[in-house]
Order: sequence, then C-alpha cells, then structure tokens
Amino acid sequence: MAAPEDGTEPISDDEILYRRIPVGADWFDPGIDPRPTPKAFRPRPDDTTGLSLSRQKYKSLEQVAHNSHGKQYYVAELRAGDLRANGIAIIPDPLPGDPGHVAVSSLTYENRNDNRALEIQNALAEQLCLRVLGPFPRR
Amino acid sequence: MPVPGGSFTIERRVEVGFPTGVASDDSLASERTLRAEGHEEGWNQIIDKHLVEWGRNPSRFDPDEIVPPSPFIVAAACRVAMRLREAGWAAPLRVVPDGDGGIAFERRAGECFESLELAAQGQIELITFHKSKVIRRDRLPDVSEWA
Repeated sequence: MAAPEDGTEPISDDEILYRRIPVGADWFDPGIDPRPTPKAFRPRPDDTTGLSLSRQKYKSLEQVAHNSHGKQYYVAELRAGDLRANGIAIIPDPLPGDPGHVAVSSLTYENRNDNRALEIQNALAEQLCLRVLGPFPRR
Repeated sequence: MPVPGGSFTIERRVEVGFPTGVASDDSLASERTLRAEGHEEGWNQIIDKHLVEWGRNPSRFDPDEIVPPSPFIVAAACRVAMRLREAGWAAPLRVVPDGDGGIAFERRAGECFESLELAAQGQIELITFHKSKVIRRDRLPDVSEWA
C-alpha cells in the first residue's frame, strides 16, 4: 500500500525543495552573483526544528512566496538527493496548513554559528542551490 | 596604515592573499590581480552603494524578515571597509546583513570563500571555507578598535 500523501511520506531523492529569500534583505542580486549569500540559509528564530524548506509537490513557486504583506521573495531551488549526498539530513515536518514543510534538522537557530552549521549554510548557497527564481509575486 | 590586530592574519593576507595553504595558484593569482587592478573601486562601491545607503535609510530592511543592522554597526562596517581598502585587501564580492543585526563582507576566490563577520555586538570574525568546509576562524579586534 502506498504511503499517505499528507506530508509525512519520505522525501525522495529527486524531489525539488524550495527556500524563500526575502528580496529586501539583499541576500540575492543576480547582477552581482548568480548564487545567493549563505546568509539566505541562516536559520531564523522560528526555525526550531531546523531550517525550513518547502516540497515542490505541495507548493508552487508562487505559493512559497505568497504572503499577505505585499512582500516579494526570491525562491531558491534545491534537490533533496543533493543535500543527502552532502550529509545534510532533511525530514518531513508537516505543519497545520503546510503539509509540505521540511526541516533541515541539523541546522537550527541555536546552532547557527557552529562550524557544521556554517558549513551547511555555505554548501546550500555555494554548491547545492540549483537556481534562484523570482522575485514573486511578480509585479 | 596598520590594521588593528593584523600582525599575522591581515598583514599576511595583504602580502600573499589566502593564508590557508589550500588556495590554488590560480586563485592566488586572481587575488593579486584584484588588488592590483581595482580593489579601491570595489571597496568604494561597497561603501557608497551599500553601507552609506543603509546608513541613510535604516528602515529599508524589514524587521519582520531580519534583525536590521543598527546605525552603530553600519558605521563600524564603513570604518572597517575603509581601513581594509587602505590596507590593500581585495574588495569583497558583496556586503550583506547577517540577519541577526550584524553585517558580513563576503569574498570568493576559486574554491575558497571568506566571510568577514561583524556581529551586532561589535565582535569581528573572519571565517574561511574551502569547498564549504570551515578551515579557519580568526577573531579580530572588536569594531571599537577600528576608529
């Protein structure tokens, strides 16, 4: 019997994961560099279970960037298998109303300045980010 | 002009680029070229287009998204940038808020990546990565010593 599609099913290696990047933070400027700064992958205080990502199978790019405050976001694209191949653990972490939520469990707000956490942030930006799309919503 | 605390790390960097022993000849050559051909203009752009603008418009960062750098740390970053420009450091690729109220100058050369981080409380650290592995963390004098 197939696993339920409620966000708890395992993340397959070929799944695409998204991380949104606020435009106003100056963390991505394609005129300077096609890669975002590692700061775009630095956990925020609410990343208690790990850095938040979204599964493409549950959210479109526009939905990842959606907000009610008129803010624009870039969206960084990652592949689950690439993260695992680099020793970065990802776990399904469905939230109410957000079944596609994923946590990078070894990268939390509390450990964000540890060597391993810094290495993960750097690898996500410098090696594993497939591309950055947006900004969304388009104006 | 000597840079505070630069007796080893900074002065050596000015002399030979990355002091890590892992940078390739190509990346070191690139460093030398950057210093020789345009490091001042690069630093000027970092200062004028980013730091001065952040200082003039402190509300440009959304506090719902990041902890914005304070006017104190923006001013300190300007001082650090000017001193490093004078000391001959290659210009960074970019300057960014760190999200926690600090500021980072980032630079890439080959497979090396450096981040000079000014924390919100004024501590300064230079973190060097090679292929995304941390290979050095050097604590530098706090911003108060960069007057």
